[in-house]
Amino acid sequence: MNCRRIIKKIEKRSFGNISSSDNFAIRFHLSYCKNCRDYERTSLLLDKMLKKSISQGNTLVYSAEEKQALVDHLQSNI
Amino acid sequence: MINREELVSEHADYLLSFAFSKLRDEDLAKDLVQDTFLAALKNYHEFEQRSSLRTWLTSILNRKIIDHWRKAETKYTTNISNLSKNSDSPDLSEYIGVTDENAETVIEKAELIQQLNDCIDKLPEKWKAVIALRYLEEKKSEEVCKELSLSASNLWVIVHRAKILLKDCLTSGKS
Ligand SMILES: [Zn+2]
Repeated sequence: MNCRRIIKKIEKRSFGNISSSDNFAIRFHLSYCKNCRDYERTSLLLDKMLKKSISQGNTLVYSAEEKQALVDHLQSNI
Repeated sequence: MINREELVSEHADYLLSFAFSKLRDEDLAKDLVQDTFLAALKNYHEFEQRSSLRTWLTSILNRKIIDHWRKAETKYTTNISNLSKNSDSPDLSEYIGVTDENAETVIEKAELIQQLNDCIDKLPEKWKAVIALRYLEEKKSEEVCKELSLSASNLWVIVHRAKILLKDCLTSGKS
């Protein structure tokens, strides 16, 4: 099985949907392919990091002036 | 009749954060929130009191976000050419000093999170959408494909390329 297909399976697995035969194929391939082992390590680390970073700094509020401008805009449009 | 001031004072900030968390673009988020209010005022007769007003507004906004994503660029147009394919680019774990024991503390570092967020911002819009749906909303792959009109194999390619680019971006700061 080639590396491209294994990498696709690794990403599929990280979404949580993978058959046990695919899982076996990944493990077998990783047992001899260093490139894919490296990729898997990076991929899993990025999964963790993305989960952390994506949930931070997401709060944004309008200033009082912006709110007023928004109200004015809504008044004038309808 | 609906009171505009009340509408804005009670829901604008909530909707803005909702949009911003997914889009990571302040101006775009504000545009879509404004469009949402306009659509809500126009179609207020369609609002059924069965759900709360906020739920209804959020569903309008969410549809607008998905519409935006569907239309968004899939291809990495400008910078894809300098996507490094060389295997000698540094290993991410080594580069940021992650080991099996310290991973949880290292990835919580504000500086690293900021760096990763900056890197995410450089990705094409549709790739960001995949990241938001996958890591923020924890959607299943079938749902992500449906919302973004992507094929499954397209999705895996995007996830894979996004990770390569993020890794390159994170490890290119110093050497
Ligand atoms: Zn391989």
